[in-house]
Amino acid sequence: MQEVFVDPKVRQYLLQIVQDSRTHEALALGGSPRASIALMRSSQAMAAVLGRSYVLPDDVKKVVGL
Amino acid sequence: MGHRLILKPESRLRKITTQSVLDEIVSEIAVNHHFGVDLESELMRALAVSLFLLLIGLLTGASMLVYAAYVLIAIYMLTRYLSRKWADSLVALLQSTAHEVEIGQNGFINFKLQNGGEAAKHLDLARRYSAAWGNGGATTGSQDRRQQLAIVFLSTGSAKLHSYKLTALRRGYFQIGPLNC
Repeated sequence: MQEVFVDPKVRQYLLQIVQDSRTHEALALGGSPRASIALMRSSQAMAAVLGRSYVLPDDVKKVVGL
Repeated sequence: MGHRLILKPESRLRKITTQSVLDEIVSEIAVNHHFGVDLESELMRALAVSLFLLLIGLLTGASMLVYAAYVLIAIYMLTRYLSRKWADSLVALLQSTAHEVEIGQNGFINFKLQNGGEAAKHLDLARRYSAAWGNGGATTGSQDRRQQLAIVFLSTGSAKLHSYKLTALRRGYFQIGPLNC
């Protein structure tokens, strides 16, 4: 699963989501560094399940929505 | 990811959920669709180099260098403007006969290309949907491999319709492409 390719721009997108969760006014505690890693691994798993060897921003969105 | 976030007490009182916060965050972040090489900036860089060569040629009086720089600039300008004009006159329509199928069932994809421009066009089409519906990019024979490529000739105002079959081999949600429903 870790062999599923994640483009640096997708990583940046993923990190931006976590970063925004840390500064959101409705949240007392945002995503941790471990949450970022978990989100990336889950996105890789989602891409693998869908038969792809690379992660799309849509995979990240789907995982965030779960 | 929602279970990893903790809401402020006042947010809980206002019935805000972590999922709604995440949805809001995701909707606010723009997705960068420019992956790989940025052709626009590459072209601009090449144009800047050509202009620099032209300047050197003019300053040193090297006529061949000036000539070469003019040719390069002309090629870049043609590439930049004609290719876009060429592509803008093409209209593509992609439709699927079924949006949901059972495992083992077939679906048909119709791909219609129309040339709205003034010039005839040759196109090499590659079906990039083989990974869809669980086929995983695998082909079953040389005939299938040949069918993945098609050369299309479109005269002015003409349209071509290509149809092909996809079989759902695995359970899941597979994207075929931006469909025109």
